[in-house]
Amino acid sequence: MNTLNVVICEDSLADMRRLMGIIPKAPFETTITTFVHARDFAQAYIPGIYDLVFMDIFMGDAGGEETPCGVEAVAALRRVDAIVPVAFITNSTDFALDGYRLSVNHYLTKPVQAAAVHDVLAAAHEAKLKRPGLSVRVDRKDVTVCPDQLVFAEQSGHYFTLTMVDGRRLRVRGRLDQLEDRLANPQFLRCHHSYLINLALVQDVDADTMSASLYGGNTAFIRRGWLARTRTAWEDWMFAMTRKKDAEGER
Amino acid sequence: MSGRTRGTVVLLCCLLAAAVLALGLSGAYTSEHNDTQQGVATIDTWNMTVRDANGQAVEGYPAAITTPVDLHGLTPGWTVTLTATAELSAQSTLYLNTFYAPYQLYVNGNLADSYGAPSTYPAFLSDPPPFNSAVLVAGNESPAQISIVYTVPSSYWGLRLTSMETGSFDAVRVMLFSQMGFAFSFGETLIALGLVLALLGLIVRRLEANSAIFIWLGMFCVCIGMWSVGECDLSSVIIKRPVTLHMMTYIGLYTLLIPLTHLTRIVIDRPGDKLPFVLCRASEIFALAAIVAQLAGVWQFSESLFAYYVVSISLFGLTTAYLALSLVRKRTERTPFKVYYLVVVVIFDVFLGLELANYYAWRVVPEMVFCEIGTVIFTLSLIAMSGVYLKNTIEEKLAAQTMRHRIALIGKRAEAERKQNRAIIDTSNEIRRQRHDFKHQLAVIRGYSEEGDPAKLQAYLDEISAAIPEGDRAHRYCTNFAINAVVGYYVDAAQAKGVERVDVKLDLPRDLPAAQENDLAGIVGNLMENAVRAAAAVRAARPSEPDAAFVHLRGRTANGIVTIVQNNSYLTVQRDDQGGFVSQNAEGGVGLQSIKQTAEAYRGNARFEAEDGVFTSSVYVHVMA
Repeated sequence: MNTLNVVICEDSLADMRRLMGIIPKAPFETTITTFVHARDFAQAYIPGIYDLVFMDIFMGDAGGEETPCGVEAVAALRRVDAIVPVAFITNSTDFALDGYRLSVNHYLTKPVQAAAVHDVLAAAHEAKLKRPGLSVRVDRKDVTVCPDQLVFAEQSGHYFTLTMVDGRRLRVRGRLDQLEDRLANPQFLRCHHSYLINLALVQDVDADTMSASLYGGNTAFIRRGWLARTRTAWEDWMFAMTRKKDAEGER
Repeated sequence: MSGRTRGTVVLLCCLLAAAVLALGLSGAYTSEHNDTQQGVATIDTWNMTVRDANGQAVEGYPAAITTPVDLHGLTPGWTVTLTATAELSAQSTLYLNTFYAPYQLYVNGNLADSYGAPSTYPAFLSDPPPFNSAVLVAGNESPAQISIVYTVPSSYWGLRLTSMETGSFDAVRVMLFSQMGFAFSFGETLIALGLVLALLGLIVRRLEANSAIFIWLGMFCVCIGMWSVGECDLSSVIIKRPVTLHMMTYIGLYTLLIPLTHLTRIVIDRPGDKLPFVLCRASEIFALAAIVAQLAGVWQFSESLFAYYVVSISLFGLTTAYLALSLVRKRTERTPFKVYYLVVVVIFDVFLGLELANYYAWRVVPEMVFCEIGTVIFTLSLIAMSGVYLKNTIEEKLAAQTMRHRIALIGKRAEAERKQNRAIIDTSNEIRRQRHDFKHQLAVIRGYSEEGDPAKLQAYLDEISAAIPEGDRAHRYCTNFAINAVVGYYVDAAQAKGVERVDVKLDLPRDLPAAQENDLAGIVGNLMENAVRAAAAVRAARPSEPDAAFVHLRGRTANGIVTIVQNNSYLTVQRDDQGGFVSQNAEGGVGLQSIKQTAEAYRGNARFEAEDGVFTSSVYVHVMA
């Protein structure tokens, strides 16, 4: 859990080497993965694998498009992972709006300075340490999962199955009531006696089929009498997240 | 109303009508037979004597008759005496009725009851009104002689003689209620229903003019109810006010034409056509004339009845024919509501005709049964249709208002896009100028560099750095061009009204299908329009606190859902009966309704809350980017 997994997306070898020289000097363990093309990064990205992304805004040839490839790559990343910290490497503040839109955490100007990079690394490491971890016993082994990566949990007999964003399905002995108590977070909602869903990964609530559509094509059923409150809780979540997105802008 | 719903309503009406008919018919069957097991006996065989005004017997009339029977050719003032014998218990009740004829009832030579003395009814009535009486008499178990002396009325066409029922008080009461209880209750219920409908119509009319249909429908129910209660024999047993009941009967009947003609006028809905208004006036004038003539004593209700039939058939026929013609000739006016109404009116006319035929000729069912059936069908159908009609009318008006609002927003958006385009052109010109200057600047830099003068070079570099524009004059609030233009328009409007704290950041899809983009722009435009208006009011009310007025708008796109939240300051809000908000716009407004409707059209929702001077709007919609 203490190792910080860093990915660098930079098409300039010089800038990449510069970063790769700074990052290992952090006071904690780090791993580095590099991408030269934004498209490769977007296709290879799996939520939960990386703890920090350095992204060159003008990575690769924008091909005449208004939005640089680096921004598009982060946009694609954010569609599947709202949590991983992202640092733009840029010369210009022209993409500040994109930064807001994509919840970019840091801006580093080229040539990047060691002190600024270490600040970014420290912030990401602290965020990782603070990120709640859920320890569950799977096949007689203890596994720690990040609740934010949990899509939904389904009870079946004496076991419940955790479906994660990366497609993993973890079968855990126990009751959903116990999991619900452990999570104790308004982000997670019991919508059915056999289903617990992550509101952040809900894509739709369908009254006709009495079900919630979730990330990754998953479906969780909703108890008929709980449909209204499930919908309300999901709406509350979306509205709260939108307001939280830029909390300092509040009155 | 969908075809299925319409079919269900008609089916239910027919089922209800069939049930009423069955009840009525069953009641008629049991009432026609001497069923001493029920404790009520019918006396329908009489000895009859007809005498003139001098008391002389008049020849030519049978000495024995079986009631009910109508006698004709009698002279007003003559008397007709019916005598019979019957077994009476210690406490027997005799039930008899009379049509406009005063009578005296004798039991064993003693006067048991009388009705119709001139002092018991007003002078404008030439005869006492019809009456039904339940008289308690004491018998001694031996056959008693019963005599009824009728006086032939002056204005009625003859003398209608009916059978007499005898039995214990409870038995007679049960008989009356079983035969006529439904009609009595039905009439009272209709009156109550009519008053409620009319009151509702008056209340809703403040909001929607077309709700007059409920007022007329209510009046229709009241008229039928009055007619039903007045006509019901049981009424005069319970309510011993024969004159009042008589007036109720005819006033209800005569004024019935008024709501029917007005309802038809509303349904036809062609203000330029005179005939519907003429028919309405005709019905009003006739009713008024007949009532006034009766009160003046110059034209009795019983005499004007034939004229009423002529007028009513003419008016019914004319209005129905006119409606049918208008539907046939003008296809554009052939709305489902009009066709449905025509069918319902024809059904009512048929049942009304059946009622008259039964009353004057057939007598196969008790009075008012056919009328009740027709009324039930007509009223229930019209209530259902009117509800749908009103709902559709309100929705159409709301849609028209929303469309006007949208058109206004589109105009503002077009203006905002023009301003944005001008700003882009200005920026483009600026860049072109700078590109031109850049070559000159490079030459100067090269010159200072070759001269080896770092100070001058640094100073020149500082100078040209300072001249680099900070950003586009066209401010970017989001990547979607159309929505950005709308936001820019309202941000400018807010600042023009002194609202400086306007903070907008929208993460919205850059490219959207045109219809979605328009709708999303509409949502954002409506939100900002309301917010700017409210914040400007705060600014105007608190000029020394510029920070008190603010608009804060945020938008987020994730999982194919756009979520928009807005907080703004406000002074006052008004709520409606459902807890929603009423527009503060002097021209009226549908902004919040429009937002919610648009959101729901995209499988989303909208919520609005106001607390402690902060109005909170939250909207989400599903989009296809």
